[in-house]
Amino acid sequence: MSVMTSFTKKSLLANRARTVVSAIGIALATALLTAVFTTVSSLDAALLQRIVVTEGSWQVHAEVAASDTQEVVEKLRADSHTATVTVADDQGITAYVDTRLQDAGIELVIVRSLPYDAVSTGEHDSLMCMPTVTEGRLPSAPGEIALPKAMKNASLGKLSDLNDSRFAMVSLLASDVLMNAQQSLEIGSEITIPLYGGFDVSNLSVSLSNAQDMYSGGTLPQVIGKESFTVVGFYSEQMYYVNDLTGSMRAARFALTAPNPEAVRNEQAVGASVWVTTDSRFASQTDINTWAQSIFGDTSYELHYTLLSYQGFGEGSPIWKSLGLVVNVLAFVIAIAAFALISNAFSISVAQRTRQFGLLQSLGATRRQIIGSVLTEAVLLGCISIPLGIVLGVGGVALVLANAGSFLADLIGISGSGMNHGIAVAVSPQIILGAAGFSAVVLVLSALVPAMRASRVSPMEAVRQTQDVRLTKRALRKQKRIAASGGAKASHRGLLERIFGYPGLLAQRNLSRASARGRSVVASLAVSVVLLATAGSFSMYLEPLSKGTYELYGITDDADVTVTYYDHNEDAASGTFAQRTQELAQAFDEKNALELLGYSFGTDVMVYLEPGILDAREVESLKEAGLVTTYSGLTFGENASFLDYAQLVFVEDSLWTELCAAAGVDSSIKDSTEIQALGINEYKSYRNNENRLYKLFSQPGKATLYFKVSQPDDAWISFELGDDGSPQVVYNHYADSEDSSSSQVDYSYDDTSEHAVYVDTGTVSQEYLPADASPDVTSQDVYIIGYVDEMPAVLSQTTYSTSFPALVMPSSYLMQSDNAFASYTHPRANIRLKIAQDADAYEADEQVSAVIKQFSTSDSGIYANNMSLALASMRSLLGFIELLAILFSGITVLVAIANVFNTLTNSIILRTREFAVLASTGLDAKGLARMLIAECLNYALRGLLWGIIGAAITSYLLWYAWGESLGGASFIMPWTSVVLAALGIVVVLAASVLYAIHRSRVLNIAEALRSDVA
Amino acid sequence: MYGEGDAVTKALDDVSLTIQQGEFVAIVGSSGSGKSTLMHLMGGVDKPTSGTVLLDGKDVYARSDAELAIYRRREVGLVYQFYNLIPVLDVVENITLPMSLDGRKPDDGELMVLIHTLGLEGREHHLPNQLSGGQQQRVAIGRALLGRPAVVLADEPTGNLDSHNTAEIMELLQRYNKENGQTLVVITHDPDIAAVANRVITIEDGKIASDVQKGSVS
Repeated sequence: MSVMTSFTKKSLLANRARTVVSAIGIALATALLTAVFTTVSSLDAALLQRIVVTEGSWQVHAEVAASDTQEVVEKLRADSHTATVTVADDQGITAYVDTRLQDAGIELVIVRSLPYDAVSTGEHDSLMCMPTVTEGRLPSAPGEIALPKAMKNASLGKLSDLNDSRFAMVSLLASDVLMNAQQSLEIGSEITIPLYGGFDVSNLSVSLSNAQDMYSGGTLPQVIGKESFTVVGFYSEQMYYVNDLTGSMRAARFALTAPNPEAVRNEQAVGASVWVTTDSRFASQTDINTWAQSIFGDTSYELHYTLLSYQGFGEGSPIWKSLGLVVNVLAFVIAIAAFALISNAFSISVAQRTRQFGLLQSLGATRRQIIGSVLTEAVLLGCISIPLGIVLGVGGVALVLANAGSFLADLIGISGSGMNHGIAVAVSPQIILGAAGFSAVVLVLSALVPAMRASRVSPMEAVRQTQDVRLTKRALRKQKRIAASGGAKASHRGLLERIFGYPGLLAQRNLSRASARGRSVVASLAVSVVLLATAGSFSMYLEPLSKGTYELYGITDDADVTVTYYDHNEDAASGTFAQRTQELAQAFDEKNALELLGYSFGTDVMVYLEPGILDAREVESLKEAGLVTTYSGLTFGENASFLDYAQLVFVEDSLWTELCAAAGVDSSIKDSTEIQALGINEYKSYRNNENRLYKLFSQPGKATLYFKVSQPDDAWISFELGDDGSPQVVYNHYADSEDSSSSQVDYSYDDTSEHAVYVDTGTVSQEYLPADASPDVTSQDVYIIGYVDEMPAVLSQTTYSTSFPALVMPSSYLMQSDNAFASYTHPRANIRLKIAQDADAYEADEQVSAVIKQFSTSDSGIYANNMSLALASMRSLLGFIELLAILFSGITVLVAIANVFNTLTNSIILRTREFAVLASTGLDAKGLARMLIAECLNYALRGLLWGIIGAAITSYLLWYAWGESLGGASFIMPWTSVVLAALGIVVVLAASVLYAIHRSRVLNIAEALRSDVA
Repeated sequence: MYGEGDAVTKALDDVSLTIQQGEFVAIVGSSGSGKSTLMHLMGGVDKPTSGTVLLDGKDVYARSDAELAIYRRREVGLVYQFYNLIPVLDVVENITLPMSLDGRKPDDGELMVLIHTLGLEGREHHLPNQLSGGQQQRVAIGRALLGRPAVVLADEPTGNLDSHNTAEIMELLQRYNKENGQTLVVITHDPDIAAVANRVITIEDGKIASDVQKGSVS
C-alpha cells in the first residue's frame, strides 16, 4: 500500500493541471454548500437578532394577577424547563390631568417596576426590550421614577381643569387622588402618586376613551397607598407595539420605578408582567404552549411567535412551513450540483489515467491496490480542497455580507433597529461538518465508481486506451449483419454529416460509439439547466409569495395604519358622511408624522343584473360546482340574471381613472341619469383543495340597485326574482299579534331537502310587489361599462363579504345630491395612512389618536388599526427570501458555468491525442471546429432536454413547497430561465469549442502523439 | 528533399539530406538520436525551429495551416508504432479518413483491393478495439497508402508486432513502394528491415552519421 500511496502522490504532483482542476471542483462544491447554508444561518441569526432587539428575547409572556404572581414565580423556579424569568411588578394605577391639554381628558398611568431576574439574582434584568431613555436615566433606587416623555413639562392639574365632561368615570375619583407635583415636570421634580389597586390591571381595555371599562370587572378601584418619587428620567413610549416594557394594549402610560422584588412578596402589587425563556429542549411550539399552560393555567399568556419562528419553532404559519420545505428543495438541488461537480472532476481524472492503471496491473498491482490508489488520491485531494472550500465559502459569505451589509440590512428590515453594524457571519459547526461530510462522501463515491471501472480494465485494453469506446448492442448486431452480408457498404448519411460534412460524421461516430464520454457533459449541462431554472422559479414565485403572504396576514397594501370610519346614524345623508370622511382624511394628512395614501367607501346594496350581463356558462359551472346554495349569497334567475346583495365601492377619482384605463373605457364621470360603474371580474372559490377563479361578468349592461327607504310596520321586506324573472319586493307579514300565543313564527327543519332549509310553516304570509311599484323601495340604475380583472389591493379592506358582484364607482357620486347614493347608502369609509419616513411611531400614534378624538361623535365609530409592526416583520421575512433567491441564483450561475466548463475542458484535454491523430491525417482547424460544433450541438440539445425535465421536476417541487403561501398561484414553468440557460449553454459550448480550437492550434502534434498521458 | 533542424533540445542538428522519389529509405539510430523528429518534420506535423523541408522544391512549412492540413491529407501517409487509429471509427472509416477529410470518395474497387491486400476482409466494420495489434497496424498502413500519397513515412511500424506480422507488413509496404513508386521512409531499429531498404541513413546525436546507398531505385 505504501508503494501505491507514494505512487498516488507522485501522480498527483506529476499531473498538476489535472489535480488543480479536480481540487478546484471539489473546493467549489464544498464552498457552495457552505456558503448557502452559512448565508441562511447568518440571515436567520440576523433576523433573530432583529427580533431580540426590537421585541425582546422572551418566549412566553403573561400578565399575572397580584395574588397569583408569587405562585407562578415559585412554579417557574421549580420547573426544570425554565431558563430565565424576569418580572415587572405593577404597583398600582394612577391618573393625571395635564393642564396644557385641557381637551385631552384624564390620562391613566400604571406604576410599573423595571423588570428583575425573579429566579436567581433579583437584580434588574430584562427579557423584554427596555424603553429608549430620551433624557436622564432609568430609576435604580427606591423613590426614583422615570416618566413618558409626553409628561415632560406637564403641569399636573385637577379634574376641574378639564373642559370635557365626556370621561364621566373620572368623577368617581376625588380630585386630590390624582398625581400631583408642585411644578411642571422635569428631571428632579418631586411627584406624589396615589396608587389604586383592588382590580386586575390586565382587564384594562384598549382605548382610553373607553376607560370606563376599567370597572368592567365590577370592582371599583381603591386607593392602596400614596408614594412620593423623584423624577430621574423621561423615556420614549412604544404605543402600539408590545415590544418594549412600556408597550401594552394602550390602556395607560407607564411610570417606571426601580426593581422591587419585595413588592410581590408583600402583596403590595396589583399584578405583574412575567417574561420567560425556556431551555431549548422543546421540540415544537405546541410543546412550549403545553408547558406554558401548565405554568400559567387559566391566566392568559402569549407566545412570542416571531421569535419562536426564527428559533426553529416555526409551525403554524404557512410561510415558515414553506420556507423549511423550500430550503430542503434548494439543499437537494445544491447537493445534486455538488455531486455532479465533484464526480465529474474525479471520473475524468481517473479516466485519464486508465493507461497507467493498466500498466500498474500488468506489473502486478491487484484490483484492491488500484482502487486503494484512487481512494488515496481522493483522500489527499479532499484533505486539501475540502478545508479550502469551507474557507472559501465562509470567506465569500463574509465578504458579501461585509460589503453589502447595509443593503442587506435594509432589505431584511433590520437597519434602524439598533443593528446598523449590518449582518454578522454566523458560522455554525453543524453546517461546516455537514458540508465537509457531504463533500467527503460524494468524493469517495465519485472516486470509487470510476476506480472500480478502471480496475476491471484489462492491462492491454488500458494500454490501447480504447476502453471508453463501446458499441451498443444494437450497433453490434448491425455490425454482425453487415459482416454476414459481406459488404463494405457505406452506411447512410446521418443528420450531422449532412449539415457539417465529413467532420459531422466524425462527430456522429464520437457520439454514438463513445457515448459514455458525452454523458458527463450532457449531465453537467442538464444540471446547469436545472440549477438556473430552479433559481428562476425561486425568484418567479417571489411576487405571488409576497402577495399571498400579505393576504394570509390580512395585509393588503402598504398602509401602516388603516382607519375605519362609519356613522351609526341611519338618517345621516351619505353625502355629508363622504364630506366628513374627506375632512377626516385631510386632518390625518395634515399631521406631520402621517401621510394619506387614500380612502374609499364600501357598502352592500341589493342589485339586479339583467340577463346578458353575466356569462351563462360560467354561472352554470358555478352551479355545477355546487357553489350556489341557499347560503352563498348568490341568487341567479333565468338566463343568468341575478338578484342579491352586491358590494359597492366608491373610490377616489384618481383611482377611478386608473381602473377605467385598465378596463379600456372612458373615465369621464357622468351625471345621475347615466351613472357608470366598473365590475370586478373576480370570484374565487376554494373547494376540494382546489382554487378556482370564475369570471362571471361577460357584457356591459344595466344594473339596478334597490334601497329600502322605509320600513312598513307590519312586515319585513326581502327581495326575490318573480316568476317572470323581474325583481320583486316580498312583504313578509307576521301573523296577527293578537294570535301570537297560538301561532308564532315557527320554523322547522325540512329533512326531505338536501340542504338545511328552514321552511315557513304557514304563520308568515307573503305578498309580492314588483320592485318598481313598491313605495318602500327606491331604485337607481347604474351602467356597468366595463370590467377589471381584480379587486385592487388598496380596496380589499373596504370589502367584507363575498367578492361577487362588486361594482366600483367614483366617490364623487356620493357627493352629488341628485342620485340615490347620496341619500340611501350608508357606507363605511376606509382611510389608509402611512407613517411618514423618519417619523417616530409613537408620535404618529399620538397624532392618529388626536385626530380620532377630534372627529368622534356619539353616532360615529372611528377605529385605527396599526399594522406597521406586522408589516415590518413581514417585509423583513420577504426580504430575507428575496435575498436567498438572489444569492442562490448568483451561486448557481457560478456553479453551472464552472461545472460545464470543467467537464468540457477536461474532456477536451482527454482527447488531445485523438485531435493530434486527426491533425496528422489532415484535419484542418475548420474541420475540427465543425466536428466539435456538431458534437456540442448534440450535447446542447440532449442537455437541454434532460435539463427541462429536471427543471420541471424541481420547479414543481418548489411550487409544492411554497404551497398555500402562494395564495393559490398556479404552477408556472420558468421558461425564461430555461431560455436563458439554453443561451448560456450556447455561450459556454461556443467558448469550449474556441478553447479546443485554440488548444489544437498551439498543439504540438508530434509531441501529443508521443505523449503517454493523453 | 532537404531538412535541417536546430531545435532547443537539438533533436536534430544541422541535418541535410535529399530523398529521391520512389526511394525506400531506412533511418536507423539509437533511441533519442532524432529519428522520429526527422519523420515528423517530413510529415508536416512538427515545424522545424530553423531550416526548411522541401517537397518537389516547395517549402512544406511555408504553407498556411489549412494548406498544411491538405499537405498531410494528400502528400504524406504516416504510420506509427502505436497505430494511432481513431477509436470511434471502424476499419473502413479509419482507412478512408484522410481522403474523406479531403472531401473525396475513395474508389470502391481500389478500397476493396486494399482491404483484401491488407487481409482485413470481413473486418471492415470492426472498431480498432476489436482488432489485434497486427490488424490495427494494417489499418494504419491502409490509411497511409490509400490515395497514394507521394511519401509514406513509417515510424517503427513493426515495433509492436511479432516476426510473422512484421514480415507481412514490411512486404506490403515494399510492394506499394515498388508497384506505385511511392517514396517509403521507415524508421526502425530492426537490422532486417534496414537490410531490405535501398538506402540506410544512420542518425546519431541529431546528426547524420552515415548514409549508405545500396542499389538503384526501382
